[in-house]
Amino acid sequence: MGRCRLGLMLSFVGSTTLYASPFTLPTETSPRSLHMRAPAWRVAAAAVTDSPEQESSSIFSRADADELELGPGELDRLPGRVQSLNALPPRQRLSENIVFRFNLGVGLDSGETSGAPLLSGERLSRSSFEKMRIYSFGDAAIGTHDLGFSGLNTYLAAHFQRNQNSPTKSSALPSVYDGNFQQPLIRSAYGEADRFFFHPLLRPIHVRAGRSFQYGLSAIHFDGVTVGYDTPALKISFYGGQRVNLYTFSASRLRDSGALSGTNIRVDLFEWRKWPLVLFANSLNFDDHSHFRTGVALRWNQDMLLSGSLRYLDGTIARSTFSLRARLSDVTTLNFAVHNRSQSDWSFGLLQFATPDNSTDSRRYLDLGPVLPKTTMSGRYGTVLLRNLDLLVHASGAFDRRDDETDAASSFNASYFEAGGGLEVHARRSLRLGIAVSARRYFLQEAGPISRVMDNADPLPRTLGATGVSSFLEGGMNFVYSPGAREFSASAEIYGRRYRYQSEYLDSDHQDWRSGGRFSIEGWTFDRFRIKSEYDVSFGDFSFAPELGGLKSLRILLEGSF
Amino acid sequence: MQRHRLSRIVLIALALASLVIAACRSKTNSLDFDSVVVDVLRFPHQRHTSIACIECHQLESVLKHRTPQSSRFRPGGQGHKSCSAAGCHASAFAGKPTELCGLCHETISQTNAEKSTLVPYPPIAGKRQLPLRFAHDTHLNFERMESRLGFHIGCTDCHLLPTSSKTTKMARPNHATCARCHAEEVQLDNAPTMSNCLRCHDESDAGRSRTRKLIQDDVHFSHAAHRIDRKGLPIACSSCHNRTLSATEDMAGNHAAPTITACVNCHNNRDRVPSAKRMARCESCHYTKSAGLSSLAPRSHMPTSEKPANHTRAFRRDHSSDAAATPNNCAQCHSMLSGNRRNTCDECHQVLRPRDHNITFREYDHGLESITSPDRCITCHQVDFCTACHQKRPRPHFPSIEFRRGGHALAASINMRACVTCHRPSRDCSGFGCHQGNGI
Repeated sequence: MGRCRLGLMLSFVGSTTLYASPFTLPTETSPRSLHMRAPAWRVAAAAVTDSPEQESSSIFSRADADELELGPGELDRLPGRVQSLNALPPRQRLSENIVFRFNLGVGLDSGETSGAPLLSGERLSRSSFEKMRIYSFGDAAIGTHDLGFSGLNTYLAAHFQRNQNSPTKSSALPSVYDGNFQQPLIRSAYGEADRFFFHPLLRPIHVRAGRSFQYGLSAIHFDGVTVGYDTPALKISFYGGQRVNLYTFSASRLRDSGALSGTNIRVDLFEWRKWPLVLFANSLNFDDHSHFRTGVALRWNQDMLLSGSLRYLDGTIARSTFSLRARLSDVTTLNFAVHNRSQSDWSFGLLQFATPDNSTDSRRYLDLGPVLPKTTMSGRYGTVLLRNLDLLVHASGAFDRRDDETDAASSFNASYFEAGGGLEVHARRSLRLGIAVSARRYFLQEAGPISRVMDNADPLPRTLGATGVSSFLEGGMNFVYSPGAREFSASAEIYGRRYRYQSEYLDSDHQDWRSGGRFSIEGWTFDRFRIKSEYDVSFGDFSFAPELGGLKSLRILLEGSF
Repeated sequence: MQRHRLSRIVLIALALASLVIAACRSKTNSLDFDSVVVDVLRFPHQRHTSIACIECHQLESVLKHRTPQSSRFRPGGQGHKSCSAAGCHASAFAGKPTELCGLCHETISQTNAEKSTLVPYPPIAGKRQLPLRFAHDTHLNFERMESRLGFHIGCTDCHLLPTSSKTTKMARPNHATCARCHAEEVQLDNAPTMSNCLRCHDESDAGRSRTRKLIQDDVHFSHAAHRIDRKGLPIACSSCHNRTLSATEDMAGNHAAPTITACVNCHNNRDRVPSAKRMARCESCHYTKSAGLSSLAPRSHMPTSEKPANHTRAFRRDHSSDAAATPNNCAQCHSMLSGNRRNTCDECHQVLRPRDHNITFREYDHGLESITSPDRCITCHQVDFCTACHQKRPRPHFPSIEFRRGGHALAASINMRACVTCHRPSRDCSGFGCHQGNGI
């Protein structure tokens, strides 16, 4: 090894021959202190030849060597690094190509009976009521990235939940999974080919086929194909297929799955020419309706976006939106939005317009009445004070813009004002304490007196705009203990809510109190597995369910990430 | 009268004597910068572009890296030779100190040259003329360097580790450091040579600011103590200076100081750092401990992988743009995320429940929220999810005959809105002749 070093030094000297540089003043001598590192391959080759055990004696592994930067004075460690570099390709490991995550758990839902009768006057019977429900559930997701072929991505996500008890009995906590539909639910199952063209202009083209989601005009879940072109400045995608109905709202499931097609376009002139404009448009054709949205955004920089958009439904303006999104610092954000809904808008997403008359269509049980014009404004500001106090304040309001002459009032469209805030502090490094309050006031119509006739059923109210929740108040606290990352954490959350109801049938406002808590602990083991247990409990003065004294839920799950 | 005259003479004599003494004593003068017409804080390189750099910056100083404070090797040293040799500023050094002197000197002593203190040079912080353009990403790209030059360099090739335990900072690279590779005689392909000063020094008068914000105030740090961790495993420079590897020459302050996140990554890891040096011990890095509200540890000092600093309460509500821009970041912690960069919101939103979706929300309160902000619901749920439950008769409706007869009165009188979600009054309430309709 010593001879090797001597040879290396000689080679340094040889490489630093004196040179009459124009940089040199006539009276000065030329620089003599040049030391250039010898080519690594030469050092490595010499070292390996002279001392093959060098690498094994090194304290560095091959993986570490790539991360290290060592100076010329530590040349004896260099061979290990150089050899590691040579041995590196292929660099990607399998874990970088495959993502596999799952969770598997068991849950118990229970409703504690209070002993009081049902609203009907009857008491809960054991034959029809299931006090405790036991169920198992789980999710699994497998994704691949550049596995086999460069640019080929796949993703499969599925969920199941299975009741262990009889599904025919009613329970304290009904579940959507009581329905009779096939499980597991396949949420996503697609393959995506990306970067399959070599030409730079064609390289951003990608194709996705299978079950997936599309975002733009709304969240769209469908089986089909998406073809897209994706660059920072220009994003275009065309998609088409059949809507996915994981659950069902009609006796004939086929009716729920209509064909759909759509387009998303986004042109970001900021990314292209630093012009502060972003143009976007979305279209969707589904269920005999055509939806279209177009908008423009002013983008000062990466963190400031002021946008306005119009959404059309069958050629009529359904909604106009104005929003400001600003990230003022890493932890300070400001969001403000105004939504102006017209009576041409949908009622509740793409699938709910006017209430269907078909008695087999379960959407009739989600009848929010006719869509009425409404303007909603909301603002949120969040920051961290004193480098520790996480503060969020928010306010929102809605204004019922219906025409008093032509539109009947509806408390579903009532004006309201809401304000709230939350604060969280890291009291100790491992303990977080938070509080949150929120209050909302609905401006319902004045409730008029009901003219009752003895021994007759009460008449219906004159309007539905005077009945419903008139105010809502919520307060809560949470504690989180976490001594370290992905090690262990425990949290507790308690909350209380008060609802106040206005009704023409009551002389004074009625109010309900609800309170509850949620407690969870989780721990990590073997770096890849998480065991979590969560206990959720709820108490209250439930006017609508006097037969129950409270609700409880316990979920225990094991989660793995690979 | 004579006494008065005598005292007046004594006073005048004393004043004259003090003036003489003061005149003889005053050899060190503070410069009056108010009268200086040039920017005395910055040497006007733009006015000296006709002169070769090396006529002022002595090669011996440049290449052998004498200490910058040494007057001998500073430009203008050795009797102000570089300034007066060609007769340019010769007259300025012949008489009394002038404004020109203020460019280099803080104070001037005409009797003792050693007492003429120099302006610190070059400044570490603040704007600098002819600032360095250096691309860390180019120099630290191992593969590219190996393929083009046959060798690569590491951080400690230029930033020498402190040899003394008293010295905590890495040695700053200097011209001698660069010359080890960039001297003419090395003849590196495609590499600028030392004679081409402007290849590395930006001629524009932009004057980049070089600021280091991490180690300041009462924070102490030693590079020497950060060579290996608790188990003796090496600590790579890039584990803290993680932005340096991608720093281009266009980035101002391209050797950015590490973020506190880098510190927390290790100092919260019991395998790498002993308990006495964990983040919980403020004195590991701080000389002083504050009291009161300010003694609360900043969020940036918290365990990073538990929750990043920007995951505030506001972020929980408004994270869509961040998640869309960097889905890979989310996938580091959040389960079920594939890291794909297109349309992957569902991977989280279909699994993780919002914080307010507790048991009370599920059984009682979700209706009001869905009316108030339906847009929030349809982020995850489509109507068939709602109707999967809503199409079933609620538990209070049992037994249905009793409920129909009069059992529903209390619930309807309190909140009839809940009834009309499923029932149309004109059909279900007054249609059978039970209740008198009022046109609703």
